[in-house]
Amino acid sequence: MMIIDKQGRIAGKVSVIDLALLIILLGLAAGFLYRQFSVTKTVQLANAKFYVTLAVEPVREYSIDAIAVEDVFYEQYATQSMGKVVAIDKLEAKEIIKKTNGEPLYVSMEDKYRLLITLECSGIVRDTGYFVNGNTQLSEGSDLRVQSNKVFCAARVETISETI
Amino acid sequence: MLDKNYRLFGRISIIDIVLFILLVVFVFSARRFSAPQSVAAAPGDVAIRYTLELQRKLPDYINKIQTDTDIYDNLRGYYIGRIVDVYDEPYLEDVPDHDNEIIRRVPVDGLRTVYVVVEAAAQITEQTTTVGSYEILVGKDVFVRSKDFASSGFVVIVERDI
Repeated sequence: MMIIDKQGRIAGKVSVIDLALLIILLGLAAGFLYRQFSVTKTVQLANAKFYVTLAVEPVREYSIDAIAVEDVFYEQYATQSMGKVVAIDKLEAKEIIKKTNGEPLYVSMEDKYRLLITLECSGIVRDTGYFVNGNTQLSEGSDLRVQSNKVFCAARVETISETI
Repeated sequence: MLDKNYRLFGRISIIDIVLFILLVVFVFSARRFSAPQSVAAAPGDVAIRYTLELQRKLPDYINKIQTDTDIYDNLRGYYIGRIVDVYDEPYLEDVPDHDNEIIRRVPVDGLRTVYVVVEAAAQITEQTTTVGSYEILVGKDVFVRSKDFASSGFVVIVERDI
C-alpha cells in the first residue's frame, strides 16, 4: 500500500498539505504558549502606561518652537505612535572645547539648547523591558529618529519610568 | 458524523476545521497583545508656508533665486511648492571663545545663509505633514531645485492655515 496516494493523502485519508499546515500551526502555538507560561514566569503588562524622556541636542529655537505639549510623536517609519508630549524642558546645550594648553572644557553653546521631551507612552511592560509599537523595545541610551507632524529630530532615550 | 476520510458529515475535513480554529485564535492573540493603534487625523489640503535654510552661500547666491517660481525635490522631482519670498542673513559658525569658556555663534565674512519661503497645499495627519508624498517637517534635511538653482538645506519654519 502506498503511504501517499496520488491525491496527496496519507494512507488515502489525510491531505499532506493539511497535515503540514497543522504541524506548523501547532509548532507556533507551542512557541507562543512557552513564551507566555515559561518557567521564568515572565510578567507582561499589556497596554501599560509609562513615561519616556527623550534628549535632543543641540537644537536651535526653530525646533523648540515646533514642539508643544499634547503633540504626538512617532518613531520614523513606524505605523503606531510612541506617545504624546506631557512635558518639555529646555536646557543649555554644551560641547567640549580644548584650551590652548590642551585642557578640555565642557562649555555652553550660544543659541543652542538641549531639549528634554517627556512622552506618555502606552505599550507593553515585560520583565525584559518596555515596548512600544508592539515589539519595539526602548532602553535608556537608545538612539532614535522621531517625528511629530511638525518636527523631525534625532533623539536619545534619557529615562524610562512608570511615574512622571 | 465522521466518515472514513475524517470529514464531518462527509463534507468538511476535520483537519481543515482545526486549522481554521487555530488561525482565528492567532489573529485574536495578535490583536490582543499588540500595542494600541493611534487615531490619525483625517488628511486634507491645508495651506502651509514653510521656510528652507540654505547655509554657507556666497553673497550673490540670493540673486539666483526668483520668487513666484516652482520648487521641486531634487532627488525624485516631486513638486513641493511655490517660492513666495527669499532673504538672507549672515552665516553663523560655532566658534570657541576660550577666554569666556563658551561657544559663540559668530558671523563669517563673505558667507550668507539664504532663507527661501515656500507656499504649498499640504496633507496633515497625526504623524506627518506632506506636500504630495514629500515630508515637510522642521529639522528635516532637503535637496531642492528650481529652474534657477539647486541646493541642500533644512526646513526651519512651518506655518499652517496661512
